[in-house]
Amino acid sequence: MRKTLFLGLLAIGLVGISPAQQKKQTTKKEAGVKPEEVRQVLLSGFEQDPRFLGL
Amino acid sequence: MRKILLSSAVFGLACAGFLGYQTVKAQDQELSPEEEIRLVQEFNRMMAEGINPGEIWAEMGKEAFKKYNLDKCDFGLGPGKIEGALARLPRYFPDVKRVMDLETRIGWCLQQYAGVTPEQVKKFATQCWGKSQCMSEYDAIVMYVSMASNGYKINVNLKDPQVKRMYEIGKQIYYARLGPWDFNCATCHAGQREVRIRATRLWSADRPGEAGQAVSIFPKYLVRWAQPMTMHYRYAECMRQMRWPTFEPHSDLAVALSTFLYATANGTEIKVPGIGR
Repeated sequence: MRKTLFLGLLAIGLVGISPAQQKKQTTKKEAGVKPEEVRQVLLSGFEQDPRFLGL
Repeated sequence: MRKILLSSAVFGLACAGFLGYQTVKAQDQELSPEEEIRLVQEFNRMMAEGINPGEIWAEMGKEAFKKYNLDKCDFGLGPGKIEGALARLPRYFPDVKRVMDLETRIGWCLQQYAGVTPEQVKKFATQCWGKSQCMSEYDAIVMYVSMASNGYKINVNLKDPQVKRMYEIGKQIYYARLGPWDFNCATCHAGQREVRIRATRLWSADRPGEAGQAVSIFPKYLVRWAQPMTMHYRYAECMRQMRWPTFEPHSDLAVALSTFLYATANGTEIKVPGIGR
């Protein structure tokens, strides 16, 4: 009886935690990009040294 | 049969137009203002009748697509499947672990399946830049693949975190003021206020539907140069006009801008090739 109760609570806990974790991860992924990432993408797009752009 | 007749008619008319243009160019010095007006009216008539010489490139592109083994290239829908592919691009490609737009993917596939080096790909992609009346197989391939998506609505998947990331980067670059004149893309193409360069009304990313009208017709045939302009060539020209450094095609910068622009245009029907002055 106690074992069944324990397993039931464990299952509820896992089911409850999983979507919460996913939501947390999604929020983290969708956060704004870092200025360094933008800078790197900009630098990839020019033939010459783009230092004069102030990057 | 109808398709063959239509293709022949378009090809014939375009050839006639091209030869006419050559003749006119040779006699450029002798043109009177009246003659110039007549030619402009002729161009307007062609536009009204729906004749677009840019379609010739698609015919050439069909051959070049096979010649460079691009039927092995996966544009996101399976090897060689191009119908509707442009509508879903840019997208994340697990084989390269990169988000790619159409031209970047074509460049990568040329390296993979045609044995072309990155330097040769760049030369291939830029061979008509800064020229007029130039026919390149690269432009032809882009035109052919793009026209296979005509009628499809642009549907960039922003639920994919990789695509979303490129969208955010592209958006920040679009609004980043850079270079000696402190210009950005938004200087000409944002805001509610109408902006014109000479007589041309410029589209704005902030006015509903206008980004869609702008990107859904690329590659676009430009009458003044008698050749089509691909999206990466458009970026290069805008950056040159802003006095930014020389643009590198197939770069992440190109992909970021494409992701922002095409995602902003989501829902717009693709109608390639466009035609413009």
